[in-house]
Amino acid sequence: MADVSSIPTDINQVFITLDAAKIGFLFIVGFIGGLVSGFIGSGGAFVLTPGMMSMGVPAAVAVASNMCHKFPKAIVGAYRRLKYGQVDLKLGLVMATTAGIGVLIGIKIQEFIKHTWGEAGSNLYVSVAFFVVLLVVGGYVFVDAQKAKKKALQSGADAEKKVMAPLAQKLAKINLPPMITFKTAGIRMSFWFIAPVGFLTGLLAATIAVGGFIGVPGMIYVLGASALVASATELVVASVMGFTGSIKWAMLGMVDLRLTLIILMGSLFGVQLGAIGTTYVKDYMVKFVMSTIMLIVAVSRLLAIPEYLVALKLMELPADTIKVLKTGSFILMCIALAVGAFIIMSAIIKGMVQERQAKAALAHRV
Amino acid sequence: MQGIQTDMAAIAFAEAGEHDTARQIMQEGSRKTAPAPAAHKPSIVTIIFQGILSFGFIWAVLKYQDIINTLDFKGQSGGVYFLFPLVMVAIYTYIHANFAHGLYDYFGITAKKK
Repeated sequence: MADVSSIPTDINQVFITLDAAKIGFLFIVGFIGGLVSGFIGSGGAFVLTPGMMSMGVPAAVAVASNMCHKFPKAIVGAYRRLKYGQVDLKLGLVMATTAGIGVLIGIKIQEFIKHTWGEAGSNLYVSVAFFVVLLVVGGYVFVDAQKAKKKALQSGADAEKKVMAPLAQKLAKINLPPMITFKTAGIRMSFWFIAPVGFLTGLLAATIAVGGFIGVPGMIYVLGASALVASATELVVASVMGFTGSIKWAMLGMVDLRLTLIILMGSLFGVQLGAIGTTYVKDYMVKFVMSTIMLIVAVSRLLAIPEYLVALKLMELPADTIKVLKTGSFILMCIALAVGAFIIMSAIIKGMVQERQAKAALAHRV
Repeated sequence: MQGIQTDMAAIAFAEAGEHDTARQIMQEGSRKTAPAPAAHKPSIVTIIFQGILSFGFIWAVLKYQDIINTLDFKGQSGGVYFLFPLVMVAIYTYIHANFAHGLYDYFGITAKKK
């Protein structure tokens, strides 16, 4: 994560020269990131920031430009999914408020770690947090998605949608004022159970820039929202957090409008397609895509850890090995996004073909 | 007008005792005069116009990138310069999101109707 202390002060160090290959790369990653975002509520950021940095963009500019493209993309995605009746605006705004506090504390933790253990310590903290959170949460969501799929196939229709997570069922019974009713999500929950989910979402967003990896599973398993509503509502949280973050970075002069607009060009195509895709799939598919991406990214971060351990003199490795691990880590991140996009596109195409066949069969009967 | 003619023809057949024929005429008439589905599909001209605007915007930003970069960087010198990239992003989002949505709609890539 880039912070204020790593901001370049010379304009020539801030803005890189763009060529056709770089523009093409940003457009494609923007599209895939947007597709995943529109479908699972978050994603893309974890490839875009290191991707831009590998092009020579300074860390602060990469984070700022990524953040600045994220908030309009999330607004467009949230707007589309609101139209499909999947967004719980009230839940999104409550989550965003508490997430804001999480972001502030997350930044403070980052600053403390960097001050105490330096850049390598900060990077090690980010990678370990990335790996542990994604492995635990991703693994749980993956197992749950498999169970939900099995249940849906056995009982037909959308039976899995009606089953609320066991923890959420227990928490919903506890009457701890203020109790808030969320109509679209179909839940009534105490603010004191929503606040920690929002807080951790913000904390993770400040640490690994992908708060949705906590926000969406949190809304599903702790608050009891369906995967479709949780992933759509996360876009509201991302819009609010992205907007405030973008103002901060724009005031530091770190937003590269050229990079932002090229990524946005691809991601606005992707996010709308992803949102359309959610109307063709069953609830468990969102969980399945999300957990697959999370688990691959977890492995990717695991490969990045030795480099920081070496920098902190906690282990020794040849420079070539570190280089191979670093490249492997980045390639795995790209693979995570590509696999997610492939599953989403396959689900959309399958869903559309089935719907057209059903329509044709109906017209034939009439 | 066509509706009245259909009704009159059906009445004439009904009065003549040919109720089946009258019913058939009414059914065909209603099928012909039924309103088209309310799906709002943008015209290809609108989509092309939005596409030109969207790509033109990017072209202009890349063509005048030195000025754009200077304005971006001025955000750190205080004042309202920080609003420049945010306003530009908002304008571009409006143009390009409508273009992308229109394009998907035109090719029939739309949300599943419940």
